[in-house]
Amino acid sequence: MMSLPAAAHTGEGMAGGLMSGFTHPLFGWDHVVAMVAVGLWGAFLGKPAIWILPVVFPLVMAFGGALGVAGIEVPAVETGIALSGVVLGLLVALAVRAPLWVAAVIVGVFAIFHGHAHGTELPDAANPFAYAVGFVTGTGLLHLAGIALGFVVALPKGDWIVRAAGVAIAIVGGLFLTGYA
Amino acid sequence: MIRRAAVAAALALLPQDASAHAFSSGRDLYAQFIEGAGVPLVTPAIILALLPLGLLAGLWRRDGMVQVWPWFIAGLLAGGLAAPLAGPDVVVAAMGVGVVCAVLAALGPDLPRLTVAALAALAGGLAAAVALEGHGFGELPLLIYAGISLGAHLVTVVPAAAVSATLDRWPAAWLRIGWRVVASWSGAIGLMLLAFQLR
Repeated sequence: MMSLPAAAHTGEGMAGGLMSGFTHPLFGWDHVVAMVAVGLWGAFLGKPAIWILPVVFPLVMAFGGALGVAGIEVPAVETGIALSGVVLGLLVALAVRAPLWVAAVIVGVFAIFHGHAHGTELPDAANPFAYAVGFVTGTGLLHLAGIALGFVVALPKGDWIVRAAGVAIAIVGGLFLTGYA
Repeated sequence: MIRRAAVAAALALLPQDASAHAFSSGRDLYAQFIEGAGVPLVTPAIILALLPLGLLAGLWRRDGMVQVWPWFIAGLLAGGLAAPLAGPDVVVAAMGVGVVCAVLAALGPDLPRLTVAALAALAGGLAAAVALEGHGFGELPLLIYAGISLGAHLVTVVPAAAVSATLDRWPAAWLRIGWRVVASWSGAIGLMLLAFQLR
């Protein structure tokens, strides 16, 4: 019979599920830096990789998410996520120009770890359809942000700015990997 | 009196046929049509089957939707006829076909006409079966069937036309890739929802 506090954002229903899914990739620095790094790396890889990676990544990440939702275990998920920041950050920092298929494999493997974590952390109350729409949109927009930042490469000294961002991403990944973050 | 109440209670407790969509518009013809048209527009499984099909058709060829349209209509009719036999698993099948369409659209392979036509027939059939699942043939007013057909066409043809028209107007590589990204996102959403369904 006790009255409960009214909360506007409970994660329930269509709007709650959408917000919950959309903000999920945004509220974890280990996820954010890796998603942005994918876009930044694309800037160094050039065409067609800069556009192919955002086509491939959501599908592979959703596959990882589906594994998480289905309760299928993937080993060392958190280590893989932290490692993705380190590896992708270093690839950006060193301006590595890998062949497209190598880049797709590297990004795809890490995408499974990120997707799995999101899939297993789904709040029970969320509307699954709205959560999936929000989650994929949030992730995709992070990629687009990374790609947009990557266009800085075209500016004078721009490549050094992007490479410095890669160093910062690798450091953040390293902090997660060593347990300092 | 007591016996009549007991019979009423027993009837109320009898297991009803499970229907995905309980139609309740009554005798109002316009309401019947609108109610039918609304079903494909608000049912995630139907949206995730037909929207990627539209994207695939538009990306495949400039007049891709026109080429596979007869197959799509045949699929809708076949799905409507087979709906009384369909079980709840038809939702999973519809989303599975949607994911296949989305992946093919995102990867942009040069597909033979028969493949796209077969996917159009399959997606159309499964969408109709999802909309009418659990309802006997001819059980619903004709205008509900007509409304469902219009709604299914809207979900499919509008994205196909949007892709074709924009690529026709601005034939740039980045725009084509942009549509492939949209297809990729719709496939990712379908894949996640499929996992939720199978959980």
